[in-house]
Amino acid sequence: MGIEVHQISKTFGSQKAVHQLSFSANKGEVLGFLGPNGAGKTTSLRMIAGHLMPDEGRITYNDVDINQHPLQAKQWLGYLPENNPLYMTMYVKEILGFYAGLHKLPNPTQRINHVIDRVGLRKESNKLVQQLSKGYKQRVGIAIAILHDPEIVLLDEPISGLDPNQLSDIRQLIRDLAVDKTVIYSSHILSEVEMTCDKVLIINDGQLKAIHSIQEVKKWRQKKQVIYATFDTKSELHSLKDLPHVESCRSLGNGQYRIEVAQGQDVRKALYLWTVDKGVILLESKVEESSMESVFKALTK
Amino acid sequence: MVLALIFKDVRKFFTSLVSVTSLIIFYVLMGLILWVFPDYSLLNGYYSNLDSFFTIVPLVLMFLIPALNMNALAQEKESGTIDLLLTRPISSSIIIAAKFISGVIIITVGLLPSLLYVYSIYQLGNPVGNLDMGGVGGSYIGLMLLCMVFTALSIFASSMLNNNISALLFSILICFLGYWGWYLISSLSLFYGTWDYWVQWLGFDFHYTELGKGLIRLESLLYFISVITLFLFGAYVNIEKLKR
Repeated sequence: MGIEVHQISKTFGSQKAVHQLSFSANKGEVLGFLGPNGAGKTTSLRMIAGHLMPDEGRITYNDVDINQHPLQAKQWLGYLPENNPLYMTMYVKEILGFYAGLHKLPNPTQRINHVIDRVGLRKESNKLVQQLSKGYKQRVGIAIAILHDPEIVLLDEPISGLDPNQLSDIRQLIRDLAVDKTVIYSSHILSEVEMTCDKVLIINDGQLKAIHSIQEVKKWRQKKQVIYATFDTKSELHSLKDLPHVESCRSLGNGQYRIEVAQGQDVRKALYLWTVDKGVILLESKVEESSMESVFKALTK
Repeated sequence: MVLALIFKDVRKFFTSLVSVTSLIIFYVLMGLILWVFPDYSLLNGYYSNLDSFFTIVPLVLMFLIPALNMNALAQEKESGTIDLLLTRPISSSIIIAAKFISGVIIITVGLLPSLLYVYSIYQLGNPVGNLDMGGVGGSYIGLMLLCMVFTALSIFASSMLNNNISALLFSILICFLGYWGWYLISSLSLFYGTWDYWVQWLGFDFHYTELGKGLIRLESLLYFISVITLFLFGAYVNIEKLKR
């Protein structure tokens, strides 16, 4: 089972939300959909989920066109929309029972209990949806998406609202799902996609910018490290660039420097000894997180 | 699938305090008009009949049915749950059919207590049972068809708008126009004395009154079925538009 997206486009008024997007995702794979807010991730996922028709192009699940044979194709789909819409006045088990009924599951109670355990909802399973925290509501949304054991799972920003403990559980769940399913997972957080996905699709302004394996992304991130260091002196510290493994050094004014260090090297000890030697005090230092823009620049060259 | 959708909506209605309260208000209002206030009191006539009930009830249903169905689709659209329904292996026509059937079940259950009025008038007749049951039966058939039309109109309004209150006001407007609008138009000098009969024929009240006489005419049945189909099709088109 796999998804084939072929040259899909969508225009709202005069705005091209998605333009000529093509890619494929296979069984056993988690494909990360990465892009800044407004890049076209949600519109693309809505088209792939079959509730928004592309103006042009074709989407198939296992060679079945979802717009020509929607009822057949949608049996294989599990979907968590971006804003996680839920019936707030229903109980957790009740809402799962409703979706089990829509899919005519043969053994609904057993399946509901299995999914409740799988997403870690057992303690909250007798509550009204509106009584749950955002993180647990998100789990209910994921439970609905995987309730009928679909072969294709689309998760639009599934980790929003989760605390760090919940994050690691959901990451593991997504990894486990991919054993026998095709999972597409959208996010605007690069580190999140790195931890969960096998392949990353980068989209911006509705256009595909690049598809890379996660190893390629990691390699890029490890290429160089940027440190911002602030010293207690405003005089020029030219000898900073003579430190071992420092590739370049630039003054940003007010005693702050941007130091680029070679891949995999630790300059902390050398930097400390240098400050003692020069008699300056290091007031602050921080390592720059790779920004989305810098990832785009690097990965789409 | 349809049953799951119907069960969800019907259950939601009967577990909602607001919904049940609106039915209670309906019966309090009907009770006061038909049994307490003298103008339309069922106790004041020379003959035992339910004419006052069948005259008043459409006016109340014109508000009640839109209120019961205002969130049928508007709320699903506003909250985004329609997105989840549209990605399930069910067609838009099934969703609309389920919403319509739920609406009809709710109003049917809601109208069941009114059979007590029939029983009461039947018992109050002199002699007991002196009530035109054919006329009552025809009126109930007309009333059910009218309820179905109001439900279809309300679901259509709910499918057009994303806000419950807007959907409520719009459906009250179209129910009013459908019921009385044609009668009012027929009184314009343009039609009066020439086409007024046919203009009135287009209104719901014309066919409802016909059925109330105990005449189950195919023409009226087809009229109601056509109006229901037309508005449900309109709701279907509105839901399909969400995919565009």
